[in-house]
Amino acid sequence: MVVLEPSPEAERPLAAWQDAILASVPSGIDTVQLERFLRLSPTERLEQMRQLLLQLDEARIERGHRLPSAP
Amino acid sequence: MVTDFRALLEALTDGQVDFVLVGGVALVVQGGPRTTEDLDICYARDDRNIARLAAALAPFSPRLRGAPADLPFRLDARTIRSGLNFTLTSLRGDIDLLGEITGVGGYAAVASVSEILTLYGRSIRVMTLDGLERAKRAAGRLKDLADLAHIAELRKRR
Repeated sequence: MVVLEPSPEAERPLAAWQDAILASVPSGIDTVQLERFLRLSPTERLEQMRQLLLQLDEARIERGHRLPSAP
Repeated sequence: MVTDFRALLEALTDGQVDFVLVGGVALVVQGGPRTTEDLDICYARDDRNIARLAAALAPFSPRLRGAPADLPFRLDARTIRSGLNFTLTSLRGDIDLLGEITGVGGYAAVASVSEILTLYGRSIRVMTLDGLERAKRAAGRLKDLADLAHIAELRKRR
């Protein structure tokens, strides 16, 4: 009888497929933006995100919640 | 409407609610430049804390997000005890109350992977990058992959 031992990959299936994707696909992260964001305090980070959301919300309302039409 | 994170966090801390800031807002606070529209918290499930949580949110008239406006719903201590996770909207925006975080556990486990940071002048427990990574790996959605990439980049800078 052959006893099959689980491989380390099988024990961490989620980590395996996620790491495989992360290792093979460029993240596309803007490291300059990241560095700039890290210089802010935690409160400033949250407020900056909220200001962006407010601008997006205003734009959505102005456009009647529709994407802009093609030129 | 855009969620008023400050108002919700102030109400929770002033109400002495035991909670940990988790999810997208926690990642932003930890330095991840992304956006999220709701506030996710993991709360302690003891009776006293549940009562405090219900009282802290009551002024904002929380109701179930996505449910018909005329659906009877009242977020009181009994309701919270009867459930676990609640996806809510309120007069101050969207808030998710989580009794457990997949991949991490209940409040005690989540608190063990949190740190106290200052937000809006208040000391607030925020999930660490380690905790966020565990939660994101367990959730396994496409957007969690992007968050895992951000977490990896943030680690390089610590």
